[in-house]
Amino acid sequence: MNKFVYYIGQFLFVILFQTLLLNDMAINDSITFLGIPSFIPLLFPVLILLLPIRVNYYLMMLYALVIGIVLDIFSNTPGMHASALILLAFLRPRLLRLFFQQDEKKLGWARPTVYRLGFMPFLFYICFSILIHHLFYFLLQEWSLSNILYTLYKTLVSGILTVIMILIGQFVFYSRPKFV
Amino acid sequence: MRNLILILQAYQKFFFFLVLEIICITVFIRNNNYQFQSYLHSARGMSGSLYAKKNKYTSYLSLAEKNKALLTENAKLRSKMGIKIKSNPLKDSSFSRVIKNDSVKETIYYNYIPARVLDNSFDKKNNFITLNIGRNKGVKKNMIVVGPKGIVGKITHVSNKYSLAASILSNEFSVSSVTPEGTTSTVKWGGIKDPYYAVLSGIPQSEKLKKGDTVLTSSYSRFPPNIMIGKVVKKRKGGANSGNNYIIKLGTNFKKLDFVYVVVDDINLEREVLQDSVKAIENE
Repeated sequence: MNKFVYYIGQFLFVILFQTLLLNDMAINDSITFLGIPSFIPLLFPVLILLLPIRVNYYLMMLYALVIGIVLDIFSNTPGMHASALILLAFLRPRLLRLFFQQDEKKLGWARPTVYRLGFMPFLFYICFSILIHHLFYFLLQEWSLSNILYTLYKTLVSGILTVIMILIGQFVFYSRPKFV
Repeated sequence: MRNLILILQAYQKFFFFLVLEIICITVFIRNNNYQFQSYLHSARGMSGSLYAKKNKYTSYLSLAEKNKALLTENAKLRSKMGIKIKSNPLKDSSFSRVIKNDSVKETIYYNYIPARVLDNSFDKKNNFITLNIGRNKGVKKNMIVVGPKGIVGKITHVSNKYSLAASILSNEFSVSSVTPEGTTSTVKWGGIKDPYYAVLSGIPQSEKLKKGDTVLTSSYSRFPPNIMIGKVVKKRKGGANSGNNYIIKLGTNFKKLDFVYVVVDDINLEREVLQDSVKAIENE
């Protein structure tokens, strides 16, 4: 029950943070960075990435679908967020196996946080997942390969911002466990 | 058959992923075009009311700037309206009446419904604006949205309290325009990816536009005529066959869009009915 409340809270917090604050960042402030007119960090993949390591696969896919639909309602893009998140959810067990092969049994139901996994492995895991998600997301949004360089640029800038935000979130919301 | 089931069982997870992904991408492609977006939009009650709440709390942050914009616009409107006084009855005799010089010109008065922008985007391929008025204030589909400094977009979805407009920052949105010399052409945003600029295309070689020339809407499209679109910045390379292309700076700053007007245009509605009936005859 406690865990259920925790995930509902996380879900609401991230969705509201993304739709009301981050999506607005590009609108209200005139930030320009290296010639890119507008870019925003996409924080919502964190909801999938920080699920417990041994979570049920089907449950995770449906969760990704729900997050995607909610975000699509807010940004008038039916199917776009949902398909990117479903791809991420499908690849997540493989990415975890790629980076933490030996520890998977030991970690069990733990959430993949920076303290449990160590800084560098966590950073690789996050960077790789975010790169895949953002690339797919922006390719879908552009729906053409004609300005592939622009898409890659956008992916990179937005991805770096997202990774920085996730790391900050790790240090703010999780405390170092007493004994590991 | 047995083998097929075995394969399905072995790759159960992958097929589950595949089905969900195909459904999502199909929905995405079917709704890729902004004219065909039929559901899941922020004109709907839930997300609309959330955006309205957000706007209520964040609107205090830039009050000074907004007041200034409103003041300048009020001043402009007031100067247009003029002050009417009773004329001297003695002057109005049939002997001294003169024909007005500009009797060929005609003034069209549109009704404007003021609206507030609740949500806005400009980093996507097709960008939308959520407005805080809907069917209850008489907004209908295809009505035009203009801002204090130029054109903004066109209403695409209407619900009872909210409405959604496709802004000119959309891939297939084109506006019929007219240059200072009277050449009509089109303005498009697609391919620019910068919310400040758009492309004016199809200007004949004989006409040279200077930097700073204003481009206005023509009377051919649904937009009311002579509304500011933007100012010419520079010539764009390429596109010599069908005329020169120019880059223009849009009059409306889409990053600071706050108050807009929805144009109620009865004349255009009548024209559309007529054009539709002509099309129906041609199809027969």
